[in-house]
Amino acid sequence: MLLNIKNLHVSVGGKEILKGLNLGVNEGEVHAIMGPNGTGKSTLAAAITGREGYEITEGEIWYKGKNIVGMSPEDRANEGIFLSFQYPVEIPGVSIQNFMRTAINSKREYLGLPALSTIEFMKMMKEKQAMVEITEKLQNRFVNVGYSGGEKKKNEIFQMAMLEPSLAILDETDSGLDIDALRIVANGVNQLHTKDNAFVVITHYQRLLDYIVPDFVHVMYDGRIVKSGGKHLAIELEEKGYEWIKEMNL
Amino acid sequence: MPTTMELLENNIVVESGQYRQIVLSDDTEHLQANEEHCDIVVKENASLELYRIQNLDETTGLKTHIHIHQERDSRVHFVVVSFNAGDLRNNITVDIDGEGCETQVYGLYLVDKKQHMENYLKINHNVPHCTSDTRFKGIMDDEASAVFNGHVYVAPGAQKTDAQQNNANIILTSTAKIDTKPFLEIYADDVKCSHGTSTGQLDQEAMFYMRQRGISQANARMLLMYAFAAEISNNIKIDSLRDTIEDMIKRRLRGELSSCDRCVLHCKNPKK
Repeated sequence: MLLNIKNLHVSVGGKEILKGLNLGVNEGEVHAIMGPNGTGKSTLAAAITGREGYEITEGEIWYKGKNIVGMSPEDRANEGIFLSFQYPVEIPGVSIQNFMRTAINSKREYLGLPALSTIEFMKMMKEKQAMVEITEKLQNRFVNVGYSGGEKKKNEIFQMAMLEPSLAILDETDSGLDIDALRIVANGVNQLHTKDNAFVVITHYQRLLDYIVPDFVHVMYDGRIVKSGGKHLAIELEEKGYEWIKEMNL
Repeated sequence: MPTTMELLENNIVVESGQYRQIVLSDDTEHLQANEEHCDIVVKENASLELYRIQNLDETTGLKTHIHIHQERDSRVHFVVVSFNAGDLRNNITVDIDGEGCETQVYGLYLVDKKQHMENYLKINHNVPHCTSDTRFKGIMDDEASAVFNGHVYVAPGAQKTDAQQNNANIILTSTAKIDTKPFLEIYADDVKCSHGTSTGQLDQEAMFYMRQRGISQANARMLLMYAFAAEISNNIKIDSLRDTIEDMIKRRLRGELSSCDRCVLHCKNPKK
């Protein structure tokens, strides 16, 4: 199993957000995590990626056979975990080229591989940009500075394509996207999906799942996964609304 | 040879209609107390680019007094970069005495260990229809301390003055200190003036974003600090000087000159 989360409890500022969450993800699978706001979907992403301030009080996160609780965010990233941020961060003064080159060579160093040459790197940039239909010259633009919501999300998928993760978590990647950007983003994800990697798609709406078709759908409520099923569960949820889940758990 | 006191005087005149680029640089060692006076007149319709680079020994004390007088329709573009010094104080005064002048003063100070740097600025808008832009940025590490004291004066009747002033600081430790005092003194009612100051740590959101992409904490810090500093060095208009200064900033932020091969900042002229 690629990712196996057992009885995960996470507190933020002393308040318990995740209250015993279990989730197993195999290579080749796409899992959707749905649920009303404030149920801990983004906290789950933060806990898997090792964000500071998210205290794991109980439970384990097994990834590629290792319990990664306590591992630094950069080591987790270099082990192949990627998060497409709900709100990608603007970094004035740091060019996307230098950012990506540093990231890729950090990973290669971690894996004991030599750094990419400038030519190899530029070729890779060009290929991966095309995958998410970014036509402009990105080289000298600062990371996310002056980007629209849609451009930021496309840029996240571009970075994902560059870093070729084993486990990609998409946190509300569909929020703020118009239908064209949504199609481009989903198309990028589908091209990157292989039998060796897995996707965890966090979303509030069923809309994205028309484009990225999940193998499993999990519904989160109050810090736990309360219902799991196939892709039809997302459609049922869209029809009945989250009140249905809330009532079920009262 | 160790000396206890040295006094340096420069008088510079940029004649009417002329354009001059001047670089004042020093790498003083073992001088315990220095004082420097520089008096500059920029005459009518003249243009001056002035660069002051300070990379002093950590035992050196230096006080500089730079006084610029601007006549009608003149332009001053001044960048001061302070890399190292034991105890440094820059007193910079610009008297804008003729209408239609433009004044830009930008500064960067990188302070660590027990170093101390002060920048005292006074921009005197003595006449109407002039613009000034003052931006200073600093990074304080270890137990270092710095002072920014910016004073913009707008004289009675100096209408249509446009004066902007900003000071931004990054403090890397709980023991480093910055004392920042931006100050506007305005006696005219039809002016556009603003001042702002910010002091904080490195952007933690940006740090996590970079680390999530596999970049080590140390390299993420380096990229953010360099980006912050480069907003000032970008204003150096002489390409070769800017390249040199930017390389010096990179080496300065690394805190060493030798480990170039693994650095993420790709210097054009790395020192061996």
